[in-house]
Amino acid sequence: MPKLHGRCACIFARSFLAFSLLTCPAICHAGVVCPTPIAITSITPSPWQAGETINVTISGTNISCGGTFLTVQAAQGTMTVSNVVLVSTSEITATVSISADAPTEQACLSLQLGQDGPNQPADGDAEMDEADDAAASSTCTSTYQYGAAMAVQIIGDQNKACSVQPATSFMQDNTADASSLASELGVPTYYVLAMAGDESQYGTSNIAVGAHNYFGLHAGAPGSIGPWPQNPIVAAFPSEDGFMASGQSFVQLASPLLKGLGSPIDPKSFFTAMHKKWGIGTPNYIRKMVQSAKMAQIRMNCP
Amino acid sequence: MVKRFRSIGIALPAIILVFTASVCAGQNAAPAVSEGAAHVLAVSTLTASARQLSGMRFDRERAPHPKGFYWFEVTANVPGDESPLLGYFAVNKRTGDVWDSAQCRRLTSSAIRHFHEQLLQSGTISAEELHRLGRVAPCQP
Repeated sequence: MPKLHGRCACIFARSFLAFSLLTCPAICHAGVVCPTPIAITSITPSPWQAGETINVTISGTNISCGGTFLTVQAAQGTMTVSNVVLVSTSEITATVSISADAPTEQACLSLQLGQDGPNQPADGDAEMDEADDAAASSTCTSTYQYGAAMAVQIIGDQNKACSVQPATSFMQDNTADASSLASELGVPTYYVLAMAGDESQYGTSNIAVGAHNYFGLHAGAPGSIGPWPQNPIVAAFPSEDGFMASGQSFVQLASPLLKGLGSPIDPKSFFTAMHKKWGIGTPNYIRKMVQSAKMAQIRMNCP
Repeated sequence: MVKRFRSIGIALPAIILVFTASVCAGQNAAPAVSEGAAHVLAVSTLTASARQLSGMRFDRERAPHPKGFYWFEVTANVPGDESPLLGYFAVNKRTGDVWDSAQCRRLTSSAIRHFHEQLLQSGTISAEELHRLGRVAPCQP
């Protein structure tokens, strides 16, 4: 079994606000080149909570070969990785300590195997701008010759997020209905909750309260009961089940926009599609909604 | 209260008048920012295509909110079945700072920066107050 060099555990920076690359010192001795692609199949537990120290198990295939070294990547400055143990060719264990002020984000955990140090990133990878960086983080694609990567959700400052009302109550009260709508669209529930939260001011807007319209729908939307008298450009829905009724209408309008996106649909792709009908007034709509989705994911799981 | 702007062509020339009127009013009494000026400042944060829409209207939010801000939702006539909802805004009555109240993010625009310059030049507010009050969020992110 190859010996994992402890000093080879290093940390990469890949946040939504900045992109930088700190390479691991090439301190490991040269070995054989890995002949086969490697893959990560699971990281448990997941998600990771800020402020906790977690014993992590990384499962995969071909994650070692003789004389090679291994690197663990995570968000720089917010966590440390230690006690990395190569258990077998399909399992690595490590201890990850996440600082209490770690942001909510998708970290990218990756393994690298190589002969003379970390493999170089593919052309153009190091020049990503902020938007591309967010996309890369959400998809967590390995760009290394002998490497594999998987995204890990970091839940940052959950107590603060969960204390914000009415946002948290709105997310939790409507999770069941949103789950049903999301399954029709083939997307995670928190995408739908983020849409509804932003379009209805967490259920408190005049349009939500008066027209029972939680998705910012135009008069004439499918399933609506007519224009809202107070603002006829807005669709009104039945008062008894406004969230679900307007949500069904949203599903009908949104479904055609998702065709051809494949599965699973990442947040950036989903909100890029939604931008065509819901983002007309909002600069940076896609980035804003990706952030809203992250918050919705946290809040729907608040204790 | 509902106000309509048929087009940005009418709204934009009004900006100077609104700025002037609101700054002068602010010399004697708070709020320094009129409700009309708040609407113009909020519109300035929208996309260029949204600013061109007709039938723009500003509806005060009925839900209870912290004082010191104008709270309103903006809709407009949009083509096809696109969402007519352009956004939810909270505008600081003292500084004119505009917040996206759904996400609780402070927004910026050249019109807001120009408005701040006018507030400072007129002595309506000190630079320290503008800096301090402008960062007071009306909501939690």
